Amino acid sequence: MTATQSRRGAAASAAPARRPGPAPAPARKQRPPLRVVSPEETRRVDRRKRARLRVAVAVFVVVGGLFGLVASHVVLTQGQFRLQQLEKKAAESQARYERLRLQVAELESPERIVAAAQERLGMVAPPGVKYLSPTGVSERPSSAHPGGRRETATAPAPDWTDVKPHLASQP
Amino acid sequence: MLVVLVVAFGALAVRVTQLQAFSRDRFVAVGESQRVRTIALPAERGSIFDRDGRELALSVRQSTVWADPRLVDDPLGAAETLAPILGMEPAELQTRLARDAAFVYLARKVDDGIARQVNDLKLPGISLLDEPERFLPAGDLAAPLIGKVGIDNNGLSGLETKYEKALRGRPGTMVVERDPSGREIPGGVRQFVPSARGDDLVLTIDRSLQYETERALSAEITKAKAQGGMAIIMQARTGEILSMANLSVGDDGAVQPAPNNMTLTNVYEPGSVNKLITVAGALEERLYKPSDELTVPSTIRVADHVFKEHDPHPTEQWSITDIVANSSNVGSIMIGQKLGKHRLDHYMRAFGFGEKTAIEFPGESAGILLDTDKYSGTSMGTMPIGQGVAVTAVQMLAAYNTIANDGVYVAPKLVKATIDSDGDRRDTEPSEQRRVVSAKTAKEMTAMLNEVVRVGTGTLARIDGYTVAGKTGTARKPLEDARGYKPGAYMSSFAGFVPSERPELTAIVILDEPTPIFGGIVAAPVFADILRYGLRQFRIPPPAPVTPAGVPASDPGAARGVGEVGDPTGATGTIDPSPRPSKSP
Repeated sequence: MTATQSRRGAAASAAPARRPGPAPAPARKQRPPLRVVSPEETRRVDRRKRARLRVAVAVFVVVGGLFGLVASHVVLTQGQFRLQQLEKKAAESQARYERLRLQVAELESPERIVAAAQERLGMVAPPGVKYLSPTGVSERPSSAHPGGRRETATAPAPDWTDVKPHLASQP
Repeated sequence: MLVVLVVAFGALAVRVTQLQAFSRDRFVAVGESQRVRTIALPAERGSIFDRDGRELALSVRQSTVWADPRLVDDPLGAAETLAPILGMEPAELQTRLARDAAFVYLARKVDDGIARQVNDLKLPGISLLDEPERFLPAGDLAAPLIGKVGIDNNGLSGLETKYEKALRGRPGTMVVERDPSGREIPGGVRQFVPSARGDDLVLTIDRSLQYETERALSAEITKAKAQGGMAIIMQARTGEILSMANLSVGDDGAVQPAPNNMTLTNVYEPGSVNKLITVAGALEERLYKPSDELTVPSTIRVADHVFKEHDPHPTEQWSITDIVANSSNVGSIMIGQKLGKHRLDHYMRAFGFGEKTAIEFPGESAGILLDTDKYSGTSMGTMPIGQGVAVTAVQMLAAYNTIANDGVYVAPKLVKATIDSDGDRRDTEPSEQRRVVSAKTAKEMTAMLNEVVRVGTGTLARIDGYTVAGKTGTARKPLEDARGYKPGAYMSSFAGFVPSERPELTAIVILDEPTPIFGGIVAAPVFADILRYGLRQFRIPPPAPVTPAGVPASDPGAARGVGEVGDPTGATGTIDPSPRPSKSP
């Protein structure tokens, strides 16, 4: 039996004693007598409800906050490890780039290339370089000498001005 | 019992109060010092490039082995394990590992293989850190010019010192909070000030031409059994130095890079190449024309000394051109005496002697040029032929370049540009220029220098297809620790430019105590070799030859190079009569 049923049973057994009647009415559910609820009691009930709500919210906030704190710490830690890994990777990549750059520079050095050409490929430096003069350039006297000595300085042929513009010039 | 408890809790309360209230800051600081670490972030040193952006010097991170002795449990065992890997004595390592310190170096900037071996050992308290190491990828190429960098990445010599401030960059720092195992504490203290890379330096040097210059010079030093040599090539119009070789012979007899950049730091008595200034001054002052003839005997007395030609000859009627082509000592002294000491001094200074060049290289010499009031009686016998005056190789090169530039001095330069860490390139200012002699004098002088190579003492400097202007020099070498000259020791040189009609490249080659002694025989061929390469490298075609009117061609019959060897001691004749053609080879 529940507490409600017990209260209802008690109320039914007490009724004939207080209000006897000619014919007993069939047994039916009796509502508790109405009474005027004081405002004080209403406020007390409201306060209890609000307090319970506050406690629930506070518990939710604290638990949620703790969970959030732990979660953010986990995220932070993961981020920190990731950052360290990326920094390490960047440093390794930078070091690798530097080593490769040095290697390229060493491979391009004239000394290594000459050694490779001579030792691996059997190349030899030419004994001399032949220059081809533009057609028409010939030797002619450069100036008069008081003593009438020989003069063999070179001078341009008439077509030199036609040839010259087609030659490369500056370093 | 109660009393004991009260006393014990009282003592604890006092101690807690002491720790929390009175010593709080100290213990907080101690705690932070154990967790918070400031890590120095070394700045990457800027690279040094040649004119085309090829690396001549660059920095690469290497591993340094260090230890925290407080964390080393067994110094002896660790020392014995590390010693064979690091190539050190165990006792030395043990001493370092037993020090009362938090940080000691064990081996700095070791190879990657050694670093890996040390890392694999995982010895407690032994760690690695990165430090930049300087490398010269082209080996010793231009090493005396570039200079050296110390273990702490600071420039010690050469351009590394000169441009230290720009090259070194700005180091950064990182402050981090770490746990005992060295891991960063998430959310802990972290401050990061990044390092700034140093500026790159772009030199005027051409790496290929530098190699060829050093190769040709080295071969001649070996062939001539010289003590060393210098060679420089300069771009005539800009003053940019394209190659700068400094070689010396080591104790083992091998040719190696000189310990310093001798072309700027060492002086030598130039000898006959200095006649350029004597004659150019006289032409500029209109004392002579190139065709004017002098009666030139074989000897000349100046004060109490008799100066003579190397090869005696009967008194000749020689033009000024002949005097230059034959490198006549007596003729040059006669011209110098007519010019006078004040004007001679003026021209030597105007051509750049007696003051440092604009390069301002570390340890650069200004040369030795006496004031005229300190001249001795024989000074006007020695100065006109390049003895009694000392110059650097670069000073003499710049003097010849003045003639190549129509009489305008162009200050030599070694740095073409700098590139900052953002990649912004800043070209250096163009070289300062000043007129020294007129264009007419320069043209006349050029024509006379042509004759030196055509029929005079410098025929071995000829380059097929081009007209070469230049002058030989064979100067006596002063004693290092006393007055006078070292018997049989000469500095042999050749300076000139090409193509003489429109000069593009100016060069000087100097050999220290070669055999044979003559600049025309040992230095001139090197000059031709390196400039032949330079003309190809810079694609300089032979220009249309132009000969100014009024300059006579030298008489090949008279071209005997009679005064090639400087002889300030006069008639005593201490010249080494080593084999030399009386006529230009």
